[in-house]
Amino acid sequence: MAGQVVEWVLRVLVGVVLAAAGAAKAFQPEAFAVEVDRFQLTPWLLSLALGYFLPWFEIVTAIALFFRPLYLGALLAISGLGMLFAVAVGSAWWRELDISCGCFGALVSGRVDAWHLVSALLFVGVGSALLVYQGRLRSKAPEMSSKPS
Amino acid sequence: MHFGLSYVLVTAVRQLTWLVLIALLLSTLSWTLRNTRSAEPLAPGEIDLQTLSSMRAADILWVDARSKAKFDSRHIPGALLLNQADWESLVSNFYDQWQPGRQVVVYGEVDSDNGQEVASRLREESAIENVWVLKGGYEAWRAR
Repeated sequence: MAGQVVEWVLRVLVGVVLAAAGAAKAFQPEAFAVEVDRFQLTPWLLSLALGYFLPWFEIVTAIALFFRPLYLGALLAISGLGMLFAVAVGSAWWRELDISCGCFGALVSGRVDAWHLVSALLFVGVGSALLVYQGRLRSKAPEMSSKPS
Repeated sequence: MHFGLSYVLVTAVRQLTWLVLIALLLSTLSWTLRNTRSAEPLAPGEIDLQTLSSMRAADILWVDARSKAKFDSRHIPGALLLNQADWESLVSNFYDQWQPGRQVVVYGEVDSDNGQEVASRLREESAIENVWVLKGGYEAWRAR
């Protein structure tokens, strides 16, 4: 029971953050592409493609957290997004790039710092932990695990 | 690997594929709508005023690639002059003003290649990657 409550709280928190982040960037993809390009990890065309793709992927993942047929995929996506963000932020921090995170588009202009890296790793942790939790639910009672808690 | 977790991971990968496909569809739709509305899509290395409006003014270094006469007559506030004709005498001022992390936005006349030429030369000689050409040139900024 406690596990189910924690799971729901995490789903709501992560869903809200992801939906907000995606919505803030989805309608200004070129601006987000510029932010991606400033990390100096991708050529411009790939930055532009990511500028269009990532915000919608965040929105779709946020919705999928509450849509049973895609729930497990959403958890994996959260871990993947967190890992991607951690690599980008870690790389920028290591190279001492004075750039903004771009996480919420023009809404928030925070410089890349340790807090962003911690946030990214939290996403990886939450996604992974919920996947493991779902795995345990299915192992203990397979006949009850046809739907998430 | 634990059976339950194996099942979860395999299912998660399958579902993730659907999420990627849906997001690809939506982003393609977004790209199509945005580039159908505008006359021409942005070329590589090009940037428009709409994108710049979402950036902090302090993060932008404007570079005017036009003639000195046009620069003296009118230019974007805060811009510095750097054109092909007077490159050697002007480029040191550019390096004095530039700082890592600032986006360099070069503008020329809309019907001329001077913006592109100066941007290309800057990228080659300075190895600065964040050099952009303003779509529509100075005229686009005047018309905003």
